[in-house]
Amino acid sequence: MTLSTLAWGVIGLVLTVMVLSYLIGDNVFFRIAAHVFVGLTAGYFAVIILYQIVWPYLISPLINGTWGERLWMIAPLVLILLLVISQFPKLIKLGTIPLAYLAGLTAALVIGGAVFGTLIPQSRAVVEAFDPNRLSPSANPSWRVIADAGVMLIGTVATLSYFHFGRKSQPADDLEKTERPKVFEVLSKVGQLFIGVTLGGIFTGIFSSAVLALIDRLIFMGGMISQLFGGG
Amino acid sequence: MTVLICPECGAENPLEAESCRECGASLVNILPSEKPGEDFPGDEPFDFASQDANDLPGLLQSLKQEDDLSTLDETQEPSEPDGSEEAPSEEPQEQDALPEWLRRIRQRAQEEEDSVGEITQKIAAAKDTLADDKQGQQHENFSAWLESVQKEEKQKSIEDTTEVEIDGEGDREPQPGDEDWLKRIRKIKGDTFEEEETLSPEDQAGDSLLQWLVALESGQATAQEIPEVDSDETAPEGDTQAQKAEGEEIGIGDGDTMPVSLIEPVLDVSREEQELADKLRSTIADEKTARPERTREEPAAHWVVLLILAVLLIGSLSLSLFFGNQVRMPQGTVLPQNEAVLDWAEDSEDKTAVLLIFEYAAGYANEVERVALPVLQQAIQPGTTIGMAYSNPSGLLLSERLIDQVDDYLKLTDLGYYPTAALGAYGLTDQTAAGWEFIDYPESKKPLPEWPFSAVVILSNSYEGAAGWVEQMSALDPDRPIYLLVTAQAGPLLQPYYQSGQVAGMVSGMTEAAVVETLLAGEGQALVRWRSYQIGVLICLIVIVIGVILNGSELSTNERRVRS
Amino acid sequence: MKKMLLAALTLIVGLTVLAGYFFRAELSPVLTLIIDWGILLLGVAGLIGLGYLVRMHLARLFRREKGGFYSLIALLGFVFSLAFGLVYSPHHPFFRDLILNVQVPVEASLLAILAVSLLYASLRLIRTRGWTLLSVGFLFGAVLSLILNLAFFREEGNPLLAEMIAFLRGIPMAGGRGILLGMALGGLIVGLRVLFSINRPYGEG
Repeated sequence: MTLSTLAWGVIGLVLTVMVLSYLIGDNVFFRIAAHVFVGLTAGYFAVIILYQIVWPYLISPLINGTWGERLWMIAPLVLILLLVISQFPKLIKLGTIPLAYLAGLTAALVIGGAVFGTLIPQSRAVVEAFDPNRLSPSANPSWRVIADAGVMLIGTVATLSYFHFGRKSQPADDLEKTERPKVFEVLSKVGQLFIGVTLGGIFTGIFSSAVLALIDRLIFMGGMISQLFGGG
Repeated sequence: MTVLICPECGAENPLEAESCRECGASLVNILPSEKPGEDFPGDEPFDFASQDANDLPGLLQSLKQEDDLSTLDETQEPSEPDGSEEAPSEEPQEQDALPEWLRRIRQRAQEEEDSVGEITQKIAAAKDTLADDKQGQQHENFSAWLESVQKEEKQKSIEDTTEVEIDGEGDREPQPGDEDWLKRIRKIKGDTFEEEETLSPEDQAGDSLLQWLVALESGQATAQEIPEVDSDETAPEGDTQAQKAEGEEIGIGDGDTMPVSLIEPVLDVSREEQELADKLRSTIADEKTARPERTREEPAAHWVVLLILAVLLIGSLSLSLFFGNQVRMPQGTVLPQNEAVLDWAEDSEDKTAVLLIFEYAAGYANEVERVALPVLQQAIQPGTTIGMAYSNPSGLLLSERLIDQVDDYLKLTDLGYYPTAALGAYGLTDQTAAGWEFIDYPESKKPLPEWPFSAVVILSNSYEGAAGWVEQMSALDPDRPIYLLVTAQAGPLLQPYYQSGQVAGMVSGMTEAAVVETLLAGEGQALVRWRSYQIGVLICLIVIVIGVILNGSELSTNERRVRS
Repeated sequence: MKKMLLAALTLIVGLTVLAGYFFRAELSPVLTLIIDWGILLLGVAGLIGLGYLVRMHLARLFRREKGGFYSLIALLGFVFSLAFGLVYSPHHPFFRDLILNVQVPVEASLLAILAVSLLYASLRLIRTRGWTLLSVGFLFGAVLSLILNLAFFREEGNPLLAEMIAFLRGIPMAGGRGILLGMALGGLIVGLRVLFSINRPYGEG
């Protein structure tokens, strides 16, 4: 182990202990570690943005480009200036132009991703689960494939019903004004169960990742301590 | 009627409810309590909020009786109803009746404009406005109407006195022509009088206006009856008539009362005013309702339990890591999505160019590397071109750290940082050259990827990031195989993308990583952590079961208590 | 008038990007331009955000507010990493070691604390929400996933057990797909509202 590796290891060990000290309560060591992290990370992010975005997309064409290329940079430059000067309270309205541009771009990406990336393929997957070829690839169809398709359909529809908050357009009485149609009410109950199961699975996933991070920290600390005090 | 009152939003819920029907908060540990405003019949929901009766001057009009209006009296028109001269409006008398604290507030209000003083001055200004309104005969017609109603009711009361008694047995049927609010008050008083009899004078004070109105309506009090100004007096229990006729106190809260001097003999109460008075009354009743207290554990107890769990978890993991047999192979079969990744990694198909997307934060670096390294070490051979793009700022350094462990002889192309996953995927996906281009559009940007990459491998710690790439790339370039090497927390919501065929294969989390590593590389870093990981998961399982046993039985006891 | 122009700008940009899903090749130069400018604007927006962070710490430091010492630490860290990164580039070995040896330990340790917190949450899983359909499902899903994560079962030679486990693995996915579809529908609606300027997240002009 080189001196440099050892030094960085000690820094990592100290920061790990400082952060883990939060387990016995908020304290000055935890705060110091957190602020060191925030400061360095913010500086790093700024460097990344400047190196990876501002330089290649703006500065480089302005410095190294031809006059024609520089002309192309006028529009984004104006948008950037508007965004920056809109941070002054009196000029806040100028920021709406670049923000409107970003809103249009983001909205289109969200729509495209939702429709072409999720709604169509996922809906098709629910339907395709009932494809006869898939259900009985052999003479002896697996009960599990059928059950899987059924559970998938019920789970998907029931979960979507849970998100349905519509009311009847022409309610017959006060009850219909305030309550969902019965069929959605029943399905949403089933949906709650499915959502709960999925969230339980996500909970386990988050716990697994967190436990693995803890295990890694323990391995790291054990290794460093043995390096420092046990001679390797 | 007992109900469960939600501690979060205050909504009433039936006894059997487990969660609030308004906000969804748990009602499990909540003890039942008497329904606030129980004296309102259940079939007449107290729902004045929807009515257009929120005029502040109206409220002030009803409250104006609380204060000295001597100055108003001086300027009153001769056309004021004849009871006015009987009003004991002498300033000193009222000042004597005022509590010391109120007198100080009023005095301060005349001197200052801030805080209470400002509010009081506003109220005084509003009163002046009301006095002007009065001069404009705004309510005269209504007063006359009420007087006529009152006369009619007097005649009826002679015929059927017992029916209109307000002693709690007056369960009189509504008469045609009765005003709604009068019916309501009558109904309320009929239902709740017994309950009121047991109330303290302070509790009763809040009802004074309503009681007076009922008495008036039943003919036992008239507009001509001029109550004596004696704010120190409170009506004796059960003697609602006397209470009506004398100076009242409207209870604001427990212990605090506001003296009210009834000076105006004229019944100037509009429907709006009545409704606002009802609102005030219900608010007072609601405030006085005993709310169930949530039993909160001491923070120290929380901390102790947390510390015990921390010691248990860290101790167990440390023991399993540093003592005993280190490696233990996971059981179980290989999942289909893992099999697809294994096939791709081991297959000798063209892998001359692979696009790696780094979408994970530094804290998850170890887990992602445990998942990804065995696969990448197997799949990527020396000489392979690796395109690297990242939608997490840390990706630049993390990519270097990972690639260092894969192979030293790779052709690396840094495709740069993209602020969002969707934008990166949309921008990076194969863009066939169009037949045209902008003249002089700058070329000196980051290098474009050398398509076609044979595969796209996304390394991610979150569902959102990975899904952003998958959605766009599968939509724009559906034939390009996408492989996901992700953390356990990202796995559950990304699996549907494998099922739908948008993703060709995936490995998520420690369990799958250990299986894949065993099959690809034999013993590795993932297996070193495997046993400790199992211990951690087992502890979580045991803690959940203990929690269910402890809290479940506690809930059962509570539910039994509620039912009983 | 200005509102109309903003709405038109949003609509034109959005529709062009959407058209790119169908006419990728034909619109390639326009799409490149739109994406490049978008990346640039988002990057500058990120810098503005960092500027606000720095300003907040500076204000706390110069007003001698509580926590000024921590702000000083954060500012020193910011200035150092920014200056070093700009002078020597982010690929410099020292810069890489500096950032990774701070980021990885701190973030991983925070995750380790999360593990303990989640363990504590596991103890109070039912206590918080009571016995509802959602909590019962959550409990079932968590216990099922934990058991499957343990990988204790030997499925070889026992096809029924293998089928059963495969079936159980698929249950959380049903809800997951519903959630994905629900989110996609929500995203679609919000996206359309923004695109047609029914919602204006950029302000009223």
